[in-house]
Amino acid sequence: MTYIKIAGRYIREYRSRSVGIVLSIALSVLLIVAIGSLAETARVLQVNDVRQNAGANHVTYIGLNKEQIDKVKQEESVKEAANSFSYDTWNGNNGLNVNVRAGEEKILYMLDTKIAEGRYPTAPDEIAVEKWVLDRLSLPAQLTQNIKVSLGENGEQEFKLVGIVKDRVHSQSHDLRDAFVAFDEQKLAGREDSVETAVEFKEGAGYKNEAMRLGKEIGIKDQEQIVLNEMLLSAMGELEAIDWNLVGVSLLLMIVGGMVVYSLYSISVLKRSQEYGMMRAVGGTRKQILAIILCEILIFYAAGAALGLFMGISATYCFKGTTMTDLFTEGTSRLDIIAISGFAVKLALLSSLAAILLAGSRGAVMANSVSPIEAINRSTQDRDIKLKGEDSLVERLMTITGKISYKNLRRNKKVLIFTVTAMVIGSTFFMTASFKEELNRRGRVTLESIGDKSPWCDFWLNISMDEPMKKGFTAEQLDEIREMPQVESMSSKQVLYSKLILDKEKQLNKSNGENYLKFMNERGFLPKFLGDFSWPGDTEDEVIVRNTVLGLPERDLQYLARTFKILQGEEIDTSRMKDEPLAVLYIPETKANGVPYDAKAKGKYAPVLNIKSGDKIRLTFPKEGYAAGMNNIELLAEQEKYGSSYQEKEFTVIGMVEELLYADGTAAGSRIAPYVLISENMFQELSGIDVQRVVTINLKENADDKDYELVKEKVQKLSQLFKGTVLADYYKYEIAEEKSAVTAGLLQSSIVIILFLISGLSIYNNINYSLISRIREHGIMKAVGLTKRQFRGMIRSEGLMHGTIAAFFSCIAALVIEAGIFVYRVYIFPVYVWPIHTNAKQFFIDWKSMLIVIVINLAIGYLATIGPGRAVDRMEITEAIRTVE
Amino acid sequence: MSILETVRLTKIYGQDKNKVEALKDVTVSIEKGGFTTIVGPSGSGKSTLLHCMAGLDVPTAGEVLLNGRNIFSLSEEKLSMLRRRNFGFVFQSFNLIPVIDVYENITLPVSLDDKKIDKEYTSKIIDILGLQDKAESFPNELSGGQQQRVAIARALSNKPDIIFADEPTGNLDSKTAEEVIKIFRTCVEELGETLIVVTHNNDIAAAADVCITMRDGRIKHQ
Amino acid sequence: MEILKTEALKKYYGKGVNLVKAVDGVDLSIAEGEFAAIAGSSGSGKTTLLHMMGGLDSPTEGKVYIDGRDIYAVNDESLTIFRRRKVGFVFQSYNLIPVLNVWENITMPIQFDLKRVDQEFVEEIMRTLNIFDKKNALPNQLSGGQQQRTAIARALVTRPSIVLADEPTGNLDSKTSQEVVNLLRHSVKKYHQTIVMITHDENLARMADRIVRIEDGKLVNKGGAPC
Repeated sequence: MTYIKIAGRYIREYRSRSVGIVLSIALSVLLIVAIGSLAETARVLQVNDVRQNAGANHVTYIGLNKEQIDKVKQEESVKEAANSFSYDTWNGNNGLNVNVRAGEEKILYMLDTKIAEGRYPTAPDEIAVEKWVLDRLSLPAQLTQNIKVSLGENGEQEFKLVGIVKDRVHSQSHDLRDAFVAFDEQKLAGREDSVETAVEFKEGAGYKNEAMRLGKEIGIKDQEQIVLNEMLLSAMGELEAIDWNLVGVSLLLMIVGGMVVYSLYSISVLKRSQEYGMMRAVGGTRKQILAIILCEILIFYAAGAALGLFMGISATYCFKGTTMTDLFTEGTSRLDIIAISGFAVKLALLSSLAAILLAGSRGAVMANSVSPIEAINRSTQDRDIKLKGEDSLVERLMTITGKISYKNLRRNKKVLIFTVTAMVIGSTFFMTASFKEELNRRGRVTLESIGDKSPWCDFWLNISMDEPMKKGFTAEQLDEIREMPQVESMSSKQVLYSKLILDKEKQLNKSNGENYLKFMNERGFLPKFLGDFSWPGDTEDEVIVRNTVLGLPERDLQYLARTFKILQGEEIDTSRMKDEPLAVLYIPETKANGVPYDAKAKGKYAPVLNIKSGDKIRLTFPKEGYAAGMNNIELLAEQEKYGSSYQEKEFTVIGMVEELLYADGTAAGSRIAPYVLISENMFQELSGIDVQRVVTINLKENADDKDYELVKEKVQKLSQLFKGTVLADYYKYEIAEEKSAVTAGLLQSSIVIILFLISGLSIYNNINYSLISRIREHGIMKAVGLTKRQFRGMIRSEGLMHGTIAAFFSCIAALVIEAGIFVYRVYIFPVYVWPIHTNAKQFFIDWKSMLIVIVINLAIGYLATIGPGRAVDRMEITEAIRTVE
Repeated sequence: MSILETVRLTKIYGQDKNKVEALKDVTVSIEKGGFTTIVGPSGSGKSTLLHCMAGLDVPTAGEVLLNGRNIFSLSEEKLSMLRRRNFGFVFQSFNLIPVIDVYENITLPVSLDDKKIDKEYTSKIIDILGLQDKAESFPNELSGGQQQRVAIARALSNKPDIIFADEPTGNLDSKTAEEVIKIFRTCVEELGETLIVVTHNNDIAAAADVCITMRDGRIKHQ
Repeated sequence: MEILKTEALKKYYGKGVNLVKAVDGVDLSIAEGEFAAIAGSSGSGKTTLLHMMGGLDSPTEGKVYIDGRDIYAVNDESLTIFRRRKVGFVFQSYNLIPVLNVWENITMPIQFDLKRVDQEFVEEIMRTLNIFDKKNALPNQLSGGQQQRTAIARALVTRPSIVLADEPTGNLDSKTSQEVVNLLRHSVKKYHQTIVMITHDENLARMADRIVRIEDGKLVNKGGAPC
């Protein structure tokens, strides 16, 4: 009981120090918990997002019989199960296809949606559809209406709309259309083995194993009947995996916070070593002294940890409802729910406990390792002052007071290093975060300076690859929308699917070309839908390879020239492309294994083709077939059959573009195949086609929801002109991204502020201690004639020296880290924000943040001396002299 | 001739129950060029008297006249400078600044004054005090006696009018104490310094010209 | 009967040129119930001697026996506990723990022993030393003399066999000093304790039963002429 009492008294007596320690612990805990929880929340949301996209079910069993289905439904570990099957395809209005799924109501749950209005179909002639799909089909969102549904296999049928399903944002933005009917035995007839049972397991790990186990248990023999939801499982796997990013940041915070706690506490114990010596002299054993110190420590810990937890959790909840960019992955999420990361809480509690135990142990060792008398008499300064005789250049230039300050700094090296390290960590974090932001910003700004807004748009129309090549939007149709007052700009491109005849020896890159072709033929170019990617040519050295041609209008040619100038530093006169057979080429890059975007592969990225400016390329395509309106894919896939009817044309390459800012969004217009950019003029000459197939529309800056709706209506109508036209709607996404930029900034600023606070505390404390332990010296100096002004100047310069050293090392550390980040981001693992990677290509020094750091360090160094200086100043000279350390 | 006088000097610490009357109406006169000691038991007020005379502590009442002028009529800044230029100090222990070497410690008052160091004179003092081979050492490399000699050298370096010493041999063994006393006599006789020493060492008292005894804040006899 | 004995006790600090012989071979014997004063000039080694006698500072050479036991032959824990119960200390300064009040400071040794405080006895001592009315005061609210008396009370509270006091009247004026020493004598006689007191005040030294003089680490017997 005594121990607690004594500990309590010490805590009360050294109030400001106690508050400092508790605050440091609390702040560090707060940050770790908040960051960890926000990161966790983001990942939970990501899982939810994946659920929307890939379904909530962990596994789907295919072709189960009634018995097996019942068994599944009764299984303990199963949370939900829903049966469904793909009934038919609804050939809807506007040439749009809708997948009709027959399933139990629970299927909506699996798809992360529910009935918004009305109810789920129960009778065989009832149907439920999402509102946005109804819009696409130009059907009113009215319940109980009868809809004539034209089914692919089951002919014309009439369905009653009994339910409107809640819009699935993901499906809407990708234009993936579904409709739902009741799970009907009759409809199922003859296709029992295609029944899909979607199963979601209860929470707990090992979904994969559970899925396999259950499958075995219910007697499934064929492995193909068990389809794991890989996307969801891997997202969930990530959710449950250790977040190393968080561990890294926590370590950082804990080191800083811990150092402060350590120095704050151990210094105060040092000051009290005499009293502990006294207690031992009077009969306290070492264990009892240790007990007193431990009590103090644990009280600090309990208070700090509790406060920190409370603040951390509250702070996390403050973010609810906002949109946030993940600090680490830079993905955007809207925080509708909040998850508190148990891992982060444990990490925070453990590391702060470690820090304070370490701090206390030093004090205990100091108090107990010597005899009581030595403890009472001990000086708390470094007795071993090993200073060189010769003055360094710097020292010779200083006044005597400056010199004393400087040497005192060097005298307590350990304390100085601690203090400075804390500041350096905070400053470096700030500078590198600022650098990263600037890096991104410069990339974006660079891109924007090209002047072409089309990579970021509000609406995107893309005609289906199945639509005959000669079909597309006419100029008049497009002008109708372009001229609307709500529309700021519109951009359109012509598209032609074609092939390149390449010289194997000369034009295929030896290191990765063959592997690339192999990869594309096997799976890269989706051979199931599109056929082969490459064929042998007419001669031994020839190879024919698929590609896409884009026809660019005059304005886009100008933008292209600026792309070259600004992004690649090249001057290319693209206006010549208007009338001459000149082309700009985009060649995909891969590593040695020929697989694009394979980050894990070894080696460096290199273009798959060996073509330079000035080379000639041979373009070939089924001109007649296209003109006749035949099926695009067939014309292209059947090389032997139609190859002879192809027409060839030679183009000269005038430039190789590194970034493909726009492309055809269909599978045939794949970006991992080469692109050939020519002028609209030449395109028409080449193909005889003058319509547009890819259109992007940007609303005015200040457009509101009403404007959006007006434009959307027209765009929707436009999309209905051709079957299967994709209409992507990015309007809502854009708004989310803007808001989230603010939140991320807020988060980073808070981290930085807290880090600076913690280090400021540390400096203050260290200077305080340093001054107080030298009271006698100061007294003597004053006696000998040091004026108050000189004294204050001496103290200030000590503080400023702290600040200068901290600033210096911060800048060096930051520069090193920034260089590392730059190399990583630009060369090793470029970050892609569609459609290009956003980093500047040139290294730069972020002067602004460096200046801020220098100023703050100096300021903290200076300010930290004011309080302690004043306290020491007030002391009478004689009192100071009388003080025995 | 009198160089320093105190007139009805009084110093009271604390209030009410805890009031301590360290000095009670003390009037003394110090002769120029003399070796004066102030003795008395603990708590007699001798250190307090020394501190007030040296301008280190402000009296509750009374005056301290240096060459006829009351030193406490000066501003804090001027008083510091007065100490720097006119007085020298030797304390019982911890006299020196640990981070600078012996030479710098000795020349400290002059450096603080931003004045040029009289190298010849400084060498002379160092010789007198036998510190020639220690000029570049640091305080923690010296024995107690050596440190005290450095302190005395420092007290001399600004050619002061008066040297104040508070228990200068307190922490020294008898042999070293003897040496210090000899040095004091040298300062007085060869350098013409005025020396005021507070001590309860009888040998110092014996070596002095004048001995002032204090008891319970008052002068017992002179 | 002999209660404390030292044999060839030495304490040296440093080495070579910097060798300091604080205590240089002291043989001393204190009888039970004796009031002994140790006198000597500053730096004579008396404080160091006293510390070693009480088990606070281990000697470089030599032995100390209290109640017939070689106190440095046991481990630190046992020595501490022994000291807690058998030896009472009054230091020259730093006697009190600043964050505890008078009562708590006085009863500290008992608390460390995890024993129950004999309230009556403690109050009696406090009244004898005239600090009972300051029971709840903190050290920084006391005068030098009151702090000293508190320290003395603490030294007496465990009824130790021997009380070691280092300049217990150091900061007191002459009148109070005499009172305190008288009090010490009185308590010592009352509770049959032995006391060894360091002082450099001749008048106070003469109040003891015996004066032991020490100079440069060795025992001597010399008088000195006061000023």
